[in-house]
Amino acid sequence: MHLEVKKFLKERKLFLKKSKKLTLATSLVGLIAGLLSFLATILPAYEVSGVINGVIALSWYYVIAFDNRIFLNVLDTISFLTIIVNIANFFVIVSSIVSITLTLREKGNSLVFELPFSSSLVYMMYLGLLLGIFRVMSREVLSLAGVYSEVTSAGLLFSGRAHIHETLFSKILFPIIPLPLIVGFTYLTLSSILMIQYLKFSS
Amino acid sequence: MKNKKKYMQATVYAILVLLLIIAGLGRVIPLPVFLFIVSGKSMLPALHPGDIVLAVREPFSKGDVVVWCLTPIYCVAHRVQEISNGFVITKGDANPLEDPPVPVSMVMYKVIGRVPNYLWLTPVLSLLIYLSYRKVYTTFILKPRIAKKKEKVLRLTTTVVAAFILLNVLALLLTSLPAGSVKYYIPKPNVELKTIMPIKHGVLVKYNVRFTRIIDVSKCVVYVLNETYYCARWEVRNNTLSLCIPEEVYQYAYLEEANRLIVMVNASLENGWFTGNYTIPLTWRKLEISLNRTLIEVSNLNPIPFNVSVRILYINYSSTGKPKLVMVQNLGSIIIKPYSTWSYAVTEKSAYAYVELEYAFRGEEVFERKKIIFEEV
Repeated sequence: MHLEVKKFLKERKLFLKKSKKLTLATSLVGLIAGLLSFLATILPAYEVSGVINGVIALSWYYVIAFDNRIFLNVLDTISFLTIIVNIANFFVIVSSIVSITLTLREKGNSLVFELPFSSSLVYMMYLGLLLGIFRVMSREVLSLAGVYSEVTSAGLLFSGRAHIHETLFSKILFPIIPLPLIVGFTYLTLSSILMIQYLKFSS
Repeated sequence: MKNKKKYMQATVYAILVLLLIIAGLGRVIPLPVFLFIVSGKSMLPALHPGDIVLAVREPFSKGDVVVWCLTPIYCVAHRVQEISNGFVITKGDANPLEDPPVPVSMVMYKVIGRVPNYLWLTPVLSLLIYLSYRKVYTTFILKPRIAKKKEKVLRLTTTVVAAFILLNVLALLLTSLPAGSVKYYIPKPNVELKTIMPIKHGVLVKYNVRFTRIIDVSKCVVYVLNETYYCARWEVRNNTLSLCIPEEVYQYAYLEEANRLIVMVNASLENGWFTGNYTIPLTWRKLEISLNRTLIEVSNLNPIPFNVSVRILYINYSSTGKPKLVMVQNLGSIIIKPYSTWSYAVTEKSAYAYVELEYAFRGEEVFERKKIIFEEV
């Protein structure tokens, strides 16, 4: 019994010693995750060329089809949902900054451990939404590509071709396993370890 | 004072809940009043994203902005363009194309007013930020000082996660993902055949053109049976093609007794091109011969010339009253050009005269005779 208490106290001492570094690392990963996710929403994901020209990002788009600027309902809805994702991103970024500031000022209280944990949960939840809307956007944007031809009473009408190019940002941020997802998992793992340790030793 | 504040709070919450019920339930069942948040730019400049639209259940007509719902999640506020056969065609003011026709029963409300986004979004967001700040302050700064340690564990996590789950659910509920592909909403160039009319020496082809313009004809070929010919010239004016077909085409068609020819046109557009094959029926008509006093007129309404032999027989009455041939005037072989009229004034040389015309029409010899009585003239 005595040995167990001794071991516990030793571990607690070690945690208190290393928690500062772990909190900083977790918050930094959180900050990167928030920024990555924010960048994913504002940087252009696709470029369209040909008879349809334009740039499409999650939060905005500028598309000109056959010399007319067009507004697409699906992309408007996606832009609207991106605002919700960015509210979560804003929370993750702010909570990471608060957590870093409090840790550096050595005003460590429960907030330092709970903020990264709660924001990592929120981040993962909204990452699902972000990836979902990105998939919807990709599906819709890719459907723009192809040959624009049809048969009418006048004959065969050929209006031209449209090509879709994935931008470098999109290739980097959304490969097969999206980068924000990898960073998000790291953030959640680190914050969970931090939280578990805090709950263990705070009692 | 405290009670008054509580009543105020309860009233505010009740109003918010009522508005949410109107906005949510109104999509499923028809309510007398409905609130709708504009999420797209299709109705610019009349409605902006974030505007709250106030709609009522009222009869609507052309030009009204109506709300129709395909599903409870997908509702659209667009302007009525046409109502016919139980269907409504709507269009966003900023959209170049109309929406697909929807049944009248699907139109749930008529828009009667709007609350601009700047009037409600800024105060509501400010209020939410203030309330959140107060909640965070009392929960995490004020209360922990007096609360037991056990009580504050995971308080922040649960509150934050719950708040964001609520925000997520609300956002997904209030946002509509439009049905159909984006490709549908692109104003694609369209060319439809309006009329095709044979004219003198060719064909006039009229088109209905949208979102483009016919620039020029790059190729025009005429097929008659197994022969191929090229159009002599063409003209493009106001999306109408005037194609000139060489006379030899018609001559060949006439000789081979073809009753149609096919015109293949390849035209360039502002964006792209189109190619069409049009069948032109050929109708061959006999020469029209008319008599105006002593003037004989022969009209050729065909696209090919006709060779006509004309002679005039002058006849007088003998003393016994019997007709007697006085003179035969042979005018010889006359070529009557396509779509032209040949005329000849017969001079009075006897009591009456016969004008005889002979020509070949589709392999048959045609003989026509007209009588001119000079005494009556």
